[in-house]
Amino acid sequence: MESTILLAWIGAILFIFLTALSLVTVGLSWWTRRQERLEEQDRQHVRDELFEQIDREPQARESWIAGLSDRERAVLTSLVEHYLRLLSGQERARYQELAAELALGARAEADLTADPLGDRLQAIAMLSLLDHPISHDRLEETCVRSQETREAAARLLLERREEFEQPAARATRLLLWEGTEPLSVYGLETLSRLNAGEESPLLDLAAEHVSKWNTAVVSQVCLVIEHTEQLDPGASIDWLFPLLEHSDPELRAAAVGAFTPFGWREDIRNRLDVRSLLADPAPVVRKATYALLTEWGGSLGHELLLRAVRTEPNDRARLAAMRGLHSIEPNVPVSAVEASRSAWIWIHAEQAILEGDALELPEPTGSVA
Amino acid sequence: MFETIGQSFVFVFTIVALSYFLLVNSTYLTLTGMAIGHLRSRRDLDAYEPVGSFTANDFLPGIAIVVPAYNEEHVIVESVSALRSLEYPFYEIIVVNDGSTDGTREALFEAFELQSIDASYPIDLPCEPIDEIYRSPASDLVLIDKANGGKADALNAGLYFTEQPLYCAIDADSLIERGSLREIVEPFLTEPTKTVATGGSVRIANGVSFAKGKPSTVSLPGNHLVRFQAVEYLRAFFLGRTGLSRIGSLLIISGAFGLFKTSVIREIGGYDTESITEDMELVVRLHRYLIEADRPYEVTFVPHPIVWTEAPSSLDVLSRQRNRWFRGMLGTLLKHRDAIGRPRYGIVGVFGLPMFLIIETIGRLIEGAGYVAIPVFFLAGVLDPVFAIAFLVVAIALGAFVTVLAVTGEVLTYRRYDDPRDIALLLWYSVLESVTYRPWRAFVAWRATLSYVLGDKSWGAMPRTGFGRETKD
Repeated sequence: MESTILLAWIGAILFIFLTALSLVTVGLSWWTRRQERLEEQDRQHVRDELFEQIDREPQARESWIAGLSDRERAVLTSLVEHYLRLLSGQERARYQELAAELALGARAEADLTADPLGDRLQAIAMLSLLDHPISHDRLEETCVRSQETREAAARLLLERREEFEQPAARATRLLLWEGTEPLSVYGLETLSRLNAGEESPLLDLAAEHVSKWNTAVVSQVCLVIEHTEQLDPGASIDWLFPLLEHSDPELRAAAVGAFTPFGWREDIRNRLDVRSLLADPAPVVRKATYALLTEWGGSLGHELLLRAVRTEPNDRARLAAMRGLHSIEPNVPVSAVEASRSAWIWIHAEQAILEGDALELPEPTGSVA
Repeated sequence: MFETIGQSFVFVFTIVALSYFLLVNSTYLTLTGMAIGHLRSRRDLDAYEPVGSFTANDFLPGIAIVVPAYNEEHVIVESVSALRSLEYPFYEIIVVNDGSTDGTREALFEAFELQSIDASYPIDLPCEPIDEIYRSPASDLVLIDKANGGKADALNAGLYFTEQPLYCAIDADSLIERGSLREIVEPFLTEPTKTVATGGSVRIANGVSFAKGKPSTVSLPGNHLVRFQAVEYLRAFFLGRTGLSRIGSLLIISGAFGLFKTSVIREIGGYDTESITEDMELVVRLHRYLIEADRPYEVTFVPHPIVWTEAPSSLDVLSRQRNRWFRGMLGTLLKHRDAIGRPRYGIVGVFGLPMFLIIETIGRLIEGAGYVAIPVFFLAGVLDPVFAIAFLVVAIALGAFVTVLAVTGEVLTYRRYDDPRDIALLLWYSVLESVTYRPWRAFVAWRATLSYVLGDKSWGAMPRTGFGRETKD
């Protein structure tokens, strides 16, 4: 009987609590919906006013800005950020001017030490878009605690590179830090843009620290190098060669890819033992080598790809070799690649559709009809 | 003596049932609470967008969207049309027509100007024989036309055909929102070296109007059965999975919307064509493989990207669906029984798999037994009626509490149902669920278990009506 009474009490309390929670939930739904509608209305009219005000002189906008409510100011801030991300040149400068009047730069700098990570990242992003003065020391002081903030700070250095000394080197160091935390795709893009052309502090940093970085980071560094244009004839990539013998096939493949932008350097072409790479036991390495040969082109690439389509045992790697050969020499007859006949036909059939041409299939004997 | 035995049995049964009940609800309460807390805390982080042009990022991974299709003539064109306008710069669409006997293929030909690639694919695809492969010259749309082999077989065809580093499995009867691909790929962008799989939210399309491939108005449908599924989806498929993902124990990525690293899924041999819940079986196997290989990885549920799918509106069809899900779960747990409870498999072994066994499987059966046992005990005179009623009240309240919390979570987070009247309805159905839908589900669980023991491996027909149209009540 006592247990029954206890159970009854528990049930009653639960139902009361349920009812209360339900009422709160419905009330919250109503209130949130109302807030969203008000915010949408605010967004509409703040946007309209923004377009009217943006071309005016700062002094003429003062009263408008002073008269904004907190919600309108928040909406305006998000609109200003939105347009700063989209615009360039003079138009962007006008929005930067407005941002200064709204003290967005000062607020963002204060938020560099905010507790939620999201707020700190938002602050760094805002500073990337503005011309609010920020020192490298201040960034080092506030933005190095996590990989996310380091990446955001590196992006800031890229976006505002004219304002800093050695921005590429400093940002590259921030991105790679101790070489223990892999980069996000956003960080990879930043790293790539920082190290394109004649300046490539990444290569110098790698030369000095690659042995201390973890495998994932090294693979990413190789991937980034593969996607950059390397113009320094004296850039040292000695550190890349030992990676071609690493135990991890994915890293070996990434290292192969990293040689791609150096095809114009005769010293590299002469030193890289491509034939040895083509004999690598891992298909992923051979496939990366076919991609390298395709990019480098030339008679050696043609010769080796032609050999590969005849001898490659792995279907996918062979298809990759065939694609590479086709891009260097579209008119290779199927008779020359009989072992990869089906790959040849497939590639030509696909191309026929994409180009709207009729496909000429080879005769069973192997010669093109 | 018999009366004593009977009373002892009732006592023991009551204790077991109550314990299970508390275990089930406290687990779900914990997961739901964790999920809400996690979603709220991540709001600022989720709103952060790195500076730079997203579409110009050369490091964005290409994605193959694989759409297995069997007799989907009513929905396939709309579904593929929605896929062609996704906000992501690098993707292809691979529709795998799995031996449809209706006009699925013809509908695609008519809508998308597909042309036959007059050649055999030079790589052996581990699936039923391919009849023909077609391509649209104007877009990255491929149709693989093959002999029927089932959904897993069709997915394998797309998985092994593509050369993209990631593939996204979605159902042909699902409508994906334009920004959803970009959202579901996010973990692969922030943690590219560890992320191997992500799952998105599946929401019920019934009662939702669509225009140009996106929802224009979201409201609850009139169909009672679908309303029950709506609350269930919120509890289990939204917040439940968020909570499980938070603790690294996500064992199901819905076949309606999942994104995977192509190379890793090929390493584990693709989908198991013997499984009727290939989505769960794949993820469990993926966890085991990577844990055994000692490779750091992430399998993540991403709650904000949404795919809308048609929920069954008739009891018959829903019963077939849930029967299959339960049999599939039994099959997966049996196949991977050697990992259950083993610390070797970390949180998956000591929590995730046991949770599915004890709570989702055995717990459901005990619940079903209770619905039968209580009236029997009552009629046999061995159960105190007042106690029985009090127990029932507590059971309903506790069961409803978890679901009400899930509805509250919806209001506090993504608010796809933003009409307070719909929220009130969802809350009402949260309570009704405990006395109607849940007992029915427990009954289905028992039937499914019997079917499984008898060797039933069928899928069951799932008729479609298309998007934006209300199904018959």
